[in-house]
Amino acid sequence: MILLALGFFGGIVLTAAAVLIPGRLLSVPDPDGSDTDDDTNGAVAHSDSVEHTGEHVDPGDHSNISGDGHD
Amino acid sequence: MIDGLPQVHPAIVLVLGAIAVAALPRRFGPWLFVAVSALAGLATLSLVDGTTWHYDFYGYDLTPLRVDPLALAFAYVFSIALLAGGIFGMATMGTLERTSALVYAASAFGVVFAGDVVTLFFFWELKVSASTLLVFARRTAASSAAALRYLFVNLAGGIVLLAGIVWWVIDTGSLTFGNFGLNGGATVLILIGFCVAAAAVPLHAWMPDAYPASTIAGTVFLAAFTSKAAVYALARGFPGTSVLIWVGVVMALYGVVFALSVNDIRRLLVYSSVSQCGFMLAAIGVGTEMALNGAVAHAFAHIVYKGLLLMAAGAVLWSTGHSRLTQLGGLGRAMPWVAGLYLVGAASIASIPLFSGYVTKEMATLGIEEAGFHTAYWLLKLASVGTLFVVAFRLPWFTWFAKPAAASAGAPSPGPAAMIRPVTPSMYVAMGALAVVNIAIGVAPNLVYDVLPFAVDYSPFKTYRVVNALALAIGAAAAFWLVRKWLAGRPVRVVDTDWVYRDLPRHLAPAVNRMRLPEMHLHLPTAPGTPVWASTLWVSGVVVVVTFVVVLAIGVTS
Repeated sequence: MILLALGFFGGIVLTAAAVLIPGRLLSVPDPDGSDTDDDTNGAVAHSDSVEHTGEHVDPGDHSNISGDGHD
Repeated sequence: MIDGLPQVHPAIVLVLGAIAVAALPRRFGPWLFVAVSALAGLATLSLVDGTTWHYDFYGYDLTPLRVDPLALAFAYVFSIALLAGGIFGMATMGTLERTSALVYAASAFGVVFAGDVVTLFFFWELKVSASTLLVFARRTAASSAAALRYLFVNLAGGIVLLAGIVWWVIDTGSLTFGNFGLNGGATVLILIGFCVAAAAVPLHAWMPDAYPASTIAGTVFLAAFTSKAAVYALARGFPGTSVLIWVGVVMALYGVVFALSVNDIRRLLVYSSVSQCGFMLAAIGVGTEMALNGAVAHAFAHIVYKGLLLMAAGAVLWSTGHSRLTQLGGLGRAMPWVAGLYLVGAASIASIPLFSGYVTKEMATLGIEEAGFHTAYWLLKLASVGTLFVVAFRLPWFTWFAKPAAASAGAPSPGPAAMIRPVTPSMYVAMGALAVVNIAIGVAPNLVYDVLPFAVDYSPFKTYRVVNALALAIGAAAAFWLVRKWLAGRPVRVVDTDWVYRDLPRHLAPAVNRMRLPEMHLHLPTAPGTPVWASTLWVSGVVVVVTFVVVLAIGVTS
């Protein structure tokens, strides 16, 4: 019973801590995902070319996901 | 162990394999990597407990190979991780990635079999160099910047470690890598050097920064080797160092709180690794046979289930091009097998009975409680609730089961229609193999218990233990259902302690630029969003130089 309560209330407490501290106090807007590259990779499926760091990328080149391609 | 085989250091096999991978045509790479990994595993199995190799180096007796149960336990699981990662990346890895992964693995084996501090430091720094290349291998602006930050933080940690080692050797005259204990400045420096690599808070931010920036296979290797080699080094050098108990408790809670906030699923999993390493450090800090067994067993299981989890997250990125919760959701029908395999890893890390984490993490926490550290025990139980929330509920819910986040916001759905390519067969094989290993350990814990450094006197399947684990999970599940809308991904970057070297330079830049130092060509970028190469180099360089000067000063004055 103690562990059931710990699971329930502990989860709520941790959620509150996460929402307040890193979620509100320690977060900055990142609408374009500048911290990661994944949306650029995703665009490969929907466009003929991808603008990424200023260079034209071949639509078949997925090296920024997998690391393949340019050894 | 296999009797009758000639004993070969696995690092030798891996370095020769890396040379072959680099030299031979690329088409041989995938199978060559797997073959070399299997040979390294065979070499590990050939090693006999008690074996040592000695080498005279300018009058110093070095021990490049020392085989004992603690080293073998880590070497076995490193072999599993390397082979599984190699299979996972067969269709995706390039030559640079394969070569650096093999050298990286060689250095990890070198660390765990090092019998002296010179060998330890050599492989420690080789590990940093090779793993940096794995982060670079993604070849994007973000990964290159993250790789530089990773390199310089870990080099700074390496300098502290080197200073501690030199000081310790001068003080004691011994090169043996054994139980240092925390007694004096030299051992404090060595402990800090190990803690940097173990991602101890607040020295941890390089890990959630760099690992998710690597390639999908690179992240699997990174999660297996760097921090676990450091956990090994702490178990070898500082068992029973009580400060580690509280360092570990802080890591366990800090990791899950941040993992509940971040948007990128691979970063979320890496923050959960910070938390899980906290369990290991706390158990090492207790230092009893039960706790040390628990720490080693949990490191073993953690490498296996975190490998599976990161592979599944990597498969999502591979197939959809997305890894942020705000761009995922509703993938359950499109990727049912990946979801199912992920849930095996999630059940393992969440300590659900019959999965690997249950038979190892419970052993570590029980070791802490039996030693009388009740506060630490309950705080770690609280962190376990966080692990359930993060890995077992939040990530799978918002990736596979909840309505796509973008669709709910009115944007085109990124769900199944956004699949850009299928998960490769080799990815399924690797994930399937690790899922089998997780379940096998959960069902037959002696598979791990038999390789632990001390005899095991622990039965995980007593009824009250099983009921307690399930009660914790049920309570957490009920709470998650109530608060889940607060845990959806948000398009934010969470600022961590890496603010010091990522953002602070921009705040300082105007003042530095006003100092007019044309001869140095020192002009720092000030606008948000500008490449961070210059500022990262600048701050990292300052950190390295200051650390070196401080360490030198300590050494001279002592």
